[in-house]
This record gives sequence, C-alpha cells and structure tokens, in this order.
Amino acid sequence: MERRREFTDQDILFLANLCHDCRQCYAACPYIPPHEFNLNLPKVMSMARRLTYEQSSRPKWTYPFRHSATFTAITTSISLFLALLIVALMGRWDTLYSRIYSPYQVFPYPLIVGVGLTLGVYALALILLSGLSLWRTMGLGFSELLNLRAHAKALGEALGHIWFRGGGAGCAYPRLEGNLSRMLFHASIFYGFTLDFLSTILASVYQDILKISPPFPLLSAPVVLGMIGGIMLCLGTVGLIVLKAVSLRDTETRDLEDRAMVEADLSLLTLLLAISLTGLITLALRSTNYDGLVLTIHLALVASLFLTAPYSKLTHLIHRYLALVRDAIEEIEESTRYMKITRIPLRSSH
Amino acid sequence: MPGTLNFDIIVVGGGNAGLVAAISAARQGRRVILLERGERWERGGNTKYTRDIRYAHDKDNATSGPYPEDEFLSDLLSVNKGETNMELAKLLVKESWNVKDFMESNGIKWQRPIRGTLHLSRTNAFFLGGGKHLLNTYYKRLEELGVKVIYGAKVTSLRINEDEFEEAIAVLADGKEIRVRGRAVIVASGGFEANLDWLSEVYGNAARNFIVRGTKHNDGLLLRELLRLGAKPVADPREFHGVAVDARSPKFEGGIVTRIDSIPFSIVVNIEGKRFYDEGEDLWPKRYAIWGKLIAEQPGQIVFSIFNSKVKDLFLPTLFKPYEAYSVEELAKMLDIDPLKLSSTISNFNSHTRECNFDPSTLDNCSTTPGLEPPKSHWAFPIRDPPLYAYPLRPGVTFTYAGVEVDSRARVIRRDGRPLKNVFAAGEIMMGNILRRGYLGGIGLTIGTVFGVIAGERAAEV
Repeated sequence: MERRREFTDQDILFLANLCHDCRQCYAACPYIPPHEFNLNLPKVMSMARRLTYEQSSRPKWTYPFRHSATFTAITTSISLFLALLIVALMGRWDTLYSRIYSPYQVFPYPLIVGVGLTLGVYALALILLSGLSLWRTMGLGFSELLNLRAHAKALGEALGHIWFRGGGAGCAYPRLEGNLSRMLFHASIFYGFTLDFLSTILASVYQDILKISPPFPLLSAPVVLGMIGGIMLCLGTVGLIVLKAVSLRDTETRDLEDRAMVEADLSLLTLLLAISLTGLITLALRSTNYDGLVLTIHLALVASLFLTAPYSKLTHLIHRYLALVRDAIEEIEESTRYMKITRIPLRSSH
Repeated sequence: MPGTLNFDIIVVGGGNAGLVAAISAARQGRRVILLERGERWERGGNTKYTRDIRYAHDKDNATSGPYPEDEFLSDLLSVNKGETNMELAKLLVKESWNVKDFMESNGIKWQRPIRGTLHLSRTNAFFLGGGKHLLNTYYKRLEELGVKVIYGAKVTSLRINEDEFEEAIAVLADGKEIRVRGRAVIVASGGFEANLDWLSEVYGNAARNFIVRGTKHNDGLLLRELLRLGAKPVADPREFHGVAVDARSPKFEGGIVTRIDSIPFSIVVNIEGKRFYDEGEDLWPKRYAIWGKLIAEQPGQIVFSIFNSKVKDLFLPTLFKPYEAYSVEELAKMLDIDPLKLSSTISNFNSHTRECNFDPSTLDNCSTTPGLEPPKSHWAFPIRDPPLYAYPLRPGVTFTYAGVEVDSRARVIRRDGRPLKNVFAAGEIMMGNILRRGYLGGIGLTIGTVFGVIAGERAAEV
C-alpha cells in the first residue's frame, strides 16, 4: 500500500505469494466479518496463492494434482509398492526381516544413487519451471532475475524468516494474538530439512572420498546431523499440524484459508513427518531385525516426496522466494528513486 | 431478581479511554470490571478507526522531531479559537508527555518509517498495527491484570444517592439485566454521533442523511443519563466534526476508508447542479474538516465532486470507484442532476479558468477569473477532456463535541458546580471541556489516554 495506489492482477498474485499468512492484517482490521465490508484478506490471499500454484503447474495438465491429498497418498502407495517389488525382484526379501549390517544389503548403492539423482533432477527442474511461470505471471522478465542485490536481500529475509514476525508484533496465528510459534516451527522444518540434506551430502563424502562405508558410528557427523535434522523436522511438522488444527477448530479463525491449500499443507506436513519419523526409527532399530523394512519404507517415502514435489506445497519454496526477490527489486528501485517520486501523504486519523 | 456483581471500579466503554482507565485502576490493585457495548469482534468503539496519537515530546523514536508543550498548546488554542477550559487544556498538554511511556509500558509498539510513501510525522506518533491492534494489545493487558470484561453489555442507567454513585444497571446480549456495584464508576462511553434521533433534535431532518463514520454504538445513552443525574453539560450539541464521505458508504462503521479527498482538485455541485463553495480555498489538510457541515447545508445533503483524468491520481485511493462518463449529459444522468444545469455550471466554470501553473502540492496560481461566484482560489482548470469522473458525497459525522464538564481529577461536575465524588469521565464524553470545534489530528486519543489515566488513578483512590 505504501508503494502503489492501484493494483493490477499481477500485483495481487505477487502480493499473495509475498503474504506469509501472518494474519495480523485480520487481527488488526476493523472490517472483518460480520462487518458489512466482510473483509477476509487472509482467505483472499490464500485463494490467490492457490490460483498461482495451479497456473504454474508444469506440464499444465497436472494442475488437478495440486493440493490433492489423494494424489500424495496414491503416489506414496505406489512408491512403497515399487520399493517392495524391487526388493523382491532382486531376491533380497529376507533383508526386510533379518539383521542387516549395511543399507546396501537391501538396495545396492548404485540403485540408491541412480534413483535419487534422477528424482532429484526431475523435482528440481519442474519446481524451477513452476517458479519461472510465476515470475512471468508477476509481470517480470528474465533480466530482472539477474538482480544479485535483490537475491541477496531475499535470501537473507527467507533464511531469517523475517516475514513470519508480523512486523514486530508476531503472527496472529493460530489464534488472533501475536506470537512466534509458527516462525519457530517453520524454521525447525526448514533447518531440519537442510541438516538432513547436509547429512546426505556428508555421507557421500565419507563413502566416496574418505572411503568409509556405512553404517557410520552414532557420533559421526552424518549421523549426528541427520538425527538433529530428523528431530527438528518431527517437532516442526507436528507443531505446524497442531497450530493448523487449532486454527481450523476455532470459530474465529476457521474460515481464513482456502480449503485446497489446507489440504496441500497437511499432505506435505504429514509426508515430511512420516519421513523424519521413519528416518529416526531406522536409526533406533539399527542392528535389529526390523531395520531393513523401516529403511525401505523410509526410502519409499523420500521417493514419494520427490515425485510429488512439483505438485505439492513444496513449490512454495520457489514461489515465496521469487516473491521476496520481486519485493527486493521494488525496494531497491524505490530507494534509488526515493527523492524524486511524488508521495501519497499520510492520512491523518480522521 | 437480576444478578448483582461487586467490584471496586466499574468502567463503562471499552475504547481507548475506558481501556486506559481500567488498566490504570487495575495497576493500583483495584478490582475492575469493564462493560463494553460491542461484541468481541467489534469491540473498542471509534478507537478501531484511529492510527496515530499526538503528544508533547523531545526528539524520540516514534516521531520526526521534538514537539514542545507550548507549540502543542498554541496549536490547540488556534483550532479552538480560545474556547476551552484553560486549566484542563494545559493539564492535557503537560500530561501528554507521559503518553508514550504509558503506551509502551502496556505493550504498544511504533510504526517504523518505511522508505517510500509512509513517513513519520513530527507531532504525531503512528502506533504499529493501527487502532484495532492498539485495542487488541490493551484488551490483552486487561486479561493479564485480571480485569473482568463483559462484551455486549449496554449500561442503561446509573444509580446515584446524593452525590455518590452506587450501582450501574446493564442489559447483556442475552437480554438479562445485571446490577454492578462499585466504589466508583468511570464513564468512557463516547459521544452521541450515532444517535440520529438526537442529532435530528438539534440539527433538524438533515441529520437523517448523515453518514456515521464510526461505531453505531455511540448513541449517547450514558451522556443523557449523566445529564439527567444533574451533570453540567459542556460544548454546543450542534457542533460536530464532519467530513465529506462517499454517499455510497455504509450508514455506520465505514471508518476511515470512506473519506473523499478529491474536492480541492474538482468542482463540487449540489443536486441542483450549482457550485456553492470555493473548493480550492486552502490546502486540503486545512479544509477537509469543514466539508461535512457544508454538505449538510445543501438540499438533500448530497453533493458531487466532479473532475477529469488530469487529477484522478492526486488523492488517496477511494473505497468505491468514481462514476465515469464521456459527456456532461451522461454524467448528469448518472448523478440525477438536470443535464442543462450541470452543463451550464461546468461551461461557466471552464470559461473562468485561465493559463496557469497547476501544482497540486502547493497553493498554486490557478485561480478563477473575476465574475465567478463562488470563485475557486487554486487548482482551477477546465473540466473538459473526458472521461469525466464524479464522487457522490454526503456529510460523514466523525464525532460530537457535547459532553459533561469534568474537573482536573476527571470527576463529573454537577450543575451546581460541585463534583460528583465517585463518578469520573474520560474520552469523547468529556472532550468538549477542551475542544468545542475544529480538530487536531490524533488529539482524540491524547484526551482519552491522559484523562483515562487520571480517571483510573483517581478512581482507585476513592
């Protein structure tokens, strides 16, 4: 509002992705329902976000997969089935219920790396395509994507979870009172995920460069990072699910989100929770007869996360990030033009 | 038998003044109950529609520079034209020094300057999140202090024995009546601007066409009750603060988004198609507050601000789009004005404009040439190139000045000059002691906060 007087559709889709559903706009608004203006900005923003997710699906015919819990469930079931089928076809069924000494007794190393890399490249490529589509929807061109200052600013804001802070008052989530719980849980997921990713990289360094084969000792770097990451993911996903449940049960806040977006959020959170839980259980059951089975389930769930990634709420990573970049571009332009532009005077209170 | 509650202090009204009073009394260890007329979602009266507060200060982090006490006082006296209770006016300005500390100590944060269009003011501080967030913060504070709050409670009468308050009678949302006994009552129930019957009594039928910008609950019930109980009235009930609002706004609760600021860059005609006042008399911040009354004097209390695309983006965005037409005739039909009359007014106006340097940011030299009645002193240019735009305007009443007289302890004064021992008033209901006409942006909250603290602390001593 401080920057422009009129809003185009492009602006609205941009703002919808910049909006982190902090809800202070709702808590601090005198025009919320049942006022006759019936202003429910969080819901409108949520609906607009859904629109941008659906429009940016690549390939285009995949848009019905978006937000669908059924899609996530089916993909996950198929992954599990395929994983077990592969184990069976390789004649390794017995590794699922007997003591194993290395994960590679269940799945050979080249298979894990091959499938992992393929799915990773596929997910990343489609997520990036979705991001590029949003970038164009927001009315921006390729050259603006190369604004490094804007990227630095956006990255800082994303890593610092700046937009989860309600401008200092905290987010009015799940109830309409400022607090930082949502920021903490989200950060826990984000950094837990990052730690797990680092753990995977480290594990391959151990194996391929240092020539140390798994299983790694409990106090080795990959295991410690993986464990901390897994616990953070668990706490964060459970936290966000609880906050969402509270928000959806309270009559004051139950209608502040698009239902399809709620479905998308819960699908991804559930999958992440299952992945982190099975990851931790694999570790706990190490050197028991059940390790192989849990490991198989864990890897199948990870495969499902990658498979669904381009159509799940995971794409918000790129959407939010690009919205932050556009905001940063505007702010940088603004500060360079600062002295020249005509400003709308601040409205006095009456 | 109605239920009876017992507390030390009863606060009537949960807007800024009432909340501040309740916090102040509870901080002194008193058991406090606050009776709020609105339901929870709409709580807080007109405070919902505020966003800044004026106070005397040295250099601080919420404003762009110091605002000395004597400057504040002289600003106040200049809008008042000197009609004020000087003792209370000075008290207000002096005590306003503590306003920022009070607010901060109760959880209020300040809007930081954002590069771009939001820049800080020197005299007023903008609190983070605006009026409703301020209310949310104060209500949360009440919870921490153990103050009982009842929403949807309409206080219908006060029982006073001799000089002393005994109990308040309230009707709750479910229709049940309760009695609340207390050692003191603080009345912070606002003005009577939402009571169109009352406004019609003093202002005639024109008042039926007013739009009430703020809460529908400010019907002056308690003001009338205090006057019935012998309180001394203050300020002229005919005086109200009114601005031009979009005629399509809701009758009540439109808040701050309904004001229309196109007037200085437009011509304003009434339903007869005639201009009636110099639209460009002065800079808009100095003139916007006279337009509510100007419109109230026009037939049917409706007028139209007409302009073209040259100035379309020079004022704040509006709630509704303006009417848009490609000829004067088309526009006249939309507005229900006689097309011949509107054409003649516009062409007459156009023929009295001249070559000049149009400059919206200052009092420019674009005045109309002699012979036009009324003239337009600035920003006059021919309204010719379509599309033409128009906003329909009605008087939007913000608040009323009439209230009850109080002393420097915020005690309500009786007609015989003696104060009621344990009846206090704060906020809009006693604003007329200080302000009887005109307005200084953000001073409503100053009065509510300063006298809220005084009332809360003095009531705690009773």
